[in-house]
Amino acid sequence: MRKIILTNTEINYKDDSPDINIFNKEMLNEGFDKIKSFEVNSKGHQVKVDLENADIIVDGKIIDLEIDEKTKTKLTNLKWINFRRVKKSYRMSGNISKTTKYGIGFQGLIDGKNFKRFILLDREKIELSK
Amino acid sequence: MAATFELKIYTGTNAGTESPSGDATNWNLQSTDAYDSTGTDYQTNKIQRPASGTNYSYERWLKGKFNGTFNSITNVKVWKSSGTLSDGNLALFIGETDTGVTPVDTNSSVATTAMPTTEGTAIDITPAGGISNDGDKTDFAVVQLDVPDTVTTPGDIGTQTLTFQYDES
Repeated sequence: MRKIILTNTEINYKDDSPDINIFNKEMLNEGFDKIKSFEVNSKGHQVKVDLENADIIVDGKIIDLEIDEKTKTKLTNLKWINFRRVKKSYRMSGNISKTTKYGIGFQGLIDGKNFKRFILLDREKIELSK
Repeated sequence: MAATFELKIYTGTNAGTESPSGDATNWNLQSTDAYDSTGTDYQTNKIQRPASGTNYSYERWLKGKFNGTFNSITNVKVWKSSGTLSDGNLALFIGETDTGVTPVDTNSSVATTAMPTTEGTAIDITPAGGISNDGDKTDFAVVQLDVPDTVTTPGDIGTQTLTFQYDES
């Protein structure tokens, strides 16, 4: 299993540091798109994405993805995803604020329909999203 | 480098005039079809309460523009993330379209959805053709303020915040 350490240098939630581009380039160079599971250490949390079992595991606990095992077996074309989720807010007063979270997880197809599960990492917590 | 997001305001014929040259600092709603370049123009371009019926702000036509190097931008959403209107009879509406139409200060045929206030009900302005190149833009988000004759609170409508969210990979 490939392990990735996301450091403060690589993940900067307050500016436009090229974290995700570095991450993608490094992982693709290593044939990461063929790897079936990987683990990310971020902010003291260990996040494992397991494509073979369609699981996301945070600090050793499997996250409830709201899908049963039978449905899981229908998942096809599984691949990992990672992205930057940016929120930029414009107040009428002229104040602009921006936050960035780091999304990581997997996507695939169930009965031809797109299926996606990921978590969002930020300074404070980990969120499950879909 | 990561993508950068700039808010753009569109005015004039077919919403064809883009302002400002960089990132817009506001989306103030006015009684004139112009970008509030000073941030205070709205004070002289007020939307008056009518004696009867409803007055409307000029539609505010908005797009997000992405610059820089990135692979893909997806899942672009917009909603009002904070702010309470100063009077319960005021109303904000929003809509999405990929076709520019000259902004109006009559009842909008585009901004017809009550302004969403949660991410889950946000308007999706991701263009059908996708966003993958430097300078690509979203579809239009069109916003309008309704001021009916039942409004009793004078002054500003209160500071509202519009949030744009996107996923970059």
